[in-house]
Amino acid sequence: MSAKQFQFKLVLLGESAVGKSSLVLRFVKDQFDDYRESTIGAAFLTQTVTLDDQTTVKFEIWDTAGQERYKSLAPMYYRNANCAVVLYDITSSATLEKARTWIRELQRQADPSIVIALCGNKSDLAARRQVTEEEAKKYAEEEGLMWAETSAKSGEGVSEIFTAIAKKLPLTAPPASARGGAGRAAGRAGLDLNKQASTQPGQDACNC
Amino acid sequence: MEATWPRAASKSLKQAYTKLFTSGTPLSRIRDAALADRLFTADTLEVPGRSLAWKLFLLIPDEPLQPLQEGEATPPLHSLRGSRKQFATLLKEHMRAPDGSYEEGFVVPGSSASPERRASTSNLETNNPLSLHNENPWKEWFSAVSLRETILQDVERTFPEIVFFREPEVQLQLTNILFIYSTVTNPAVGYRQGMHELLAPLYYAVDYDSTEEAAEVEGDAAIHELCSRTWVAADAWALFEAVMRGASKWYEWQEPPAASRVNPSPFTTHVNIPAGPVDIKPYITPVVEDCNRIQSNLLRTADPLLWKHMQAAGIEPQIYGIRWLRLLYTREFDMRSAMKLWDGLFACDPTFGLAPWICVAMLIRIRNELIPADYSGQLTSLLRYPSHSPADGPHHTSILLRQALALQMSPTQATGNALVLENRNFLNIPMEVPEPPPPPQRRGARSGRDKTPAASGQAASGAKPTNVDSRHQPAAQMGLEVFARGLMERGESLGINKMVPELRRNLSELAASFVRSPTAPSFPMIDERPPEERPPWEPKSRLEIEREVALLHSTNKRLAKSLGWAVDVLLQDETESKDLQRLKSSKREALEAISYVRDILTGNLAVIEEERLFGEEETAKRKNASQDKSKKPPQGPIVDVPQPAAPTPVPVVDSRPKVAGPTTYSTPAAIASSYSVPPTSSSNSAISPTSPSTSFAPWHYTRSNFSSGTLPSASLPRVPPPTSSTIRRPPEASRDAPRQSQPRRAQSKTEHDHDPLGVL
Repeated sequence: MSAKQFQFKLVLLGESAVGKSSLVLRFVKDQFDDYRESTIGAAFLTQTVTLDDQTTVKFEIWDTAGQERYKSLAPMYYRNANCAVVLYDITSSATLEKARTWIRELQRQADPSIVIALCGNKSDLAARRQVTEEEAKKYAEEEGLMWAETSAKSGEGVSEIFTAIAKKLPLTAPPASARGGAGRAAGRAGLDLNKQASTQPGQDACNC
Repeated sequence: MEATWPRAASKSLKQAYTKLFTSGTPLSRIRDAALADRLFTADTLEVPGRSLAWKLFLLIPDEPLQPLQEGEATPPLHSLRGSRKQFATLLKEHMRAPDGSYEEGFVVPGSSASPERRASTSNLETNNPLSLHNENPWKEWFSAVSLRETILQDVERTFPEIVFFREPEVQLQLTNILFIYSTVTNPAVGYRQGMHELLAPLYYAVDYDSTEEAAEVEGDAAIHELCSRTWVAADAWALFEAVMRGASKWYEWQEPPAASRVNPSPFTTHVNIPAGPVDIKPYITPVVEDCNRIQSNLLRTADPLLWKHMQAAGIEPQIYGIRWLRLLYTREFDMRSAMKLWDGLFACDPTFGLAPWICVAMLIRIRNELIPADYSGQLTSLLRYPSHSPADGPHHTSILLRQALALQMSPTQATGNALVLENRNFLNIPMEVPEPPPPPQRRGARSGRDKTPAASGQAASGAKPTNVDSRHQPAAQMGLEVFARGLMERGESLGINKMVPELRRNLSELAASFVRSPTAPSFPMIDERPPEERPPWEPKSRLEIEREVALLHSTNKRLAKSLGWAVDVLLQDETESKDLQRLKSSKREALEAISYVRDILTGNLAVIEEERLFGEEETAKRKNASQDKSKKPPQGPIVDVPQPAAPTPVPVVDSRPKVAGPTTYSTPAAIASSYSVPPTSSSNSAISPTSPSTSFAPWHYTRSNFSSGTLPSASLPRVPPPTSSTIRRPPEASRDAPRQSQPRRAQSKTEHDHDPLGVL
């Protein structure tokens, strides 16, 4: 078997200014800005993670606006998502509360097979910590979520969490075909497959 | 506050003031100048006098009976005085804590000191920070404080690259303005992310033009009053309020309280039975509604092909539309350009009714990026809008505005076509859509082995139109250019060229652009008026001439392909060949084809028979190739997509017969209702070719393909058969249709290669 590429839709959720865009920027471009303009609507980025010589995982990342709690809009971004990263700011316990509501909403509304990771960002500001590791970890365990602390500023834990998500995703049933198809056909197929994935995940796996 | 950033020089400020208010220029001409980017000469982010123009455009007095439009521009001093006073009052009222105190250092503009603390005489039982009483005013105060914190969180990171906005004083003022707006003017919507980025440029412009209290601008008190530094925040607030009158709907996120929408009944305690049908539609935010309208109605009318590709990819219009509309394009263009766009937009339409059309023009501008791209490629272009560096000529934002106005005035596909042409001329955006990266596809059986570069190059470019520059086009097209030039010279005597000077200037490239992609012209050419309806004295329309040229080029292309094939065959070495007999017969065929081409070129033949252009073997090969091609959806212009998902549920009512014709822009609702019905092949067959001689040429197929995909099915000259209301019609029904209206030969071809139902 030749090298395989998997493609997954990932959505970032969380309160405003917890560092969603910064986390993605660190992950995708390994950069950090002290001031990052607020996201309006959503941003879309892609990044590929190499798991081993044979397997790569391409993330299609939807970076949403923190204030976008309109009922009609947020589902558009997490619909058909294979994985979600719900972010909170370790220096503000209110943001963990908001993260909990996002997780509840995902558990209710999103694809049941969605992989959810809870992330405590701004770990470089541990001196101003309001959310203890134990508290968040306990909650994550109760809900069956992945959990990690990250710092978009220092880069700590950022690529690790995305790699961990990639490993946890069902790689036995790739949601997108391996390389080889025509670019556009693959893109469209991926879209259709996503739609089906909500009912029968991975059934349409391409065997090439 | 010490100025650490640039401010307008008083001299240039005075110049701008003179230009706007005292030179006697009528307001309408000032608006025109702003629209065409002729109002200011500076090409920097800061433009002296910009805030004056914005005040002029936005702070229109409310009196409805003023004949303002025709008159001379007057500085909106009266309106400013009122708004400044109001701003100070509001600040004093809303920044005061329930105990009457103000935050330390709080200064109301217009007064030098902090406002005095007024001792509150209210009941300490309720009015104290720790009271649990429901009417405790501190409750409101604490929520106000937290609102200001939320606002500040965004204000702090406004335009990270502009140092002006890192100033704490500026951040404080921006926060105050947004706070006043969201608690007083629009409490139903409140503060929403994005508002801060509408306010920031306004504040920046007002501050840049502001003049110091002490420094008298030579002799003109009016300038000084208009630009007073004391009132920067108040003036920015006034401008922001004016902008939000048009933009606030895009921030609405919950159903406005019923009282503000419905006329309150005098009998509020009674049960209200609504007169009409009960409106139980789920609430859709206005911004989503506008986004849907942009993509599903407006774009679909103006550029059906692009619409189809975006639908096929599954692009939901909110993804890009929300940001475009909410921020008025500041993230899509660099700030310098975005501010020019604002100049024009504020001048021509401060209510922003034009904004959706700007979005459509923006989509059409990047159609070459969008059409060949897949879902994620389209998203990338939409969310990171590509920049366009224009050649000399008008600024690209004023082109955009003009295009939006043109679309608004005449929302037709013809206007969409004109936009594509204009983008080509001004922004060097090619008219033909580049093909998506094709899978490696070589005509394996070709025996030429590139011995004749010209001929094989020709054939290759016929197979897949590439982006070659016109200079690299084979010489076969030179004759066409000469012909086209002659055509234009003839047109000159008819006065056509006055209308299209650009067309003529770029004639050679234009000709090349038509030739480059005979298989996939970016736009169908549709006349405003069919020739038979036109009186004989009226000259040919521009589109007609263009079509003639394109037709000719396309013919030549086919002939060149035939010649290329013939040359390839003739060049084969007889001594090397294994099957000598076969080679000899194909060489004979080649010679026959060449003589056939000669006959065509002498003009003896009206109809070109494809079979005679190539040998038997080659014809069969080509047929197969084109069949294969039509099986692979991404190759042809028709993408046979399995029912693209509509972005959001839009109520679908099949009202197609209600729509009058392809170019009539009837009510948006009618168009909205027809949008989710995918085009069927019936529209293909319903459009009969204008002349029988064109029915056989390849551009005809592409054209009819376009028609089938692009024309709304509402444009059928006859009411579609009842089966068309079902989305997928039985193949028998559609196969009957072409027989009635299409010429025989074309019919077999269409069925064969291009009927999407044949593939199904």
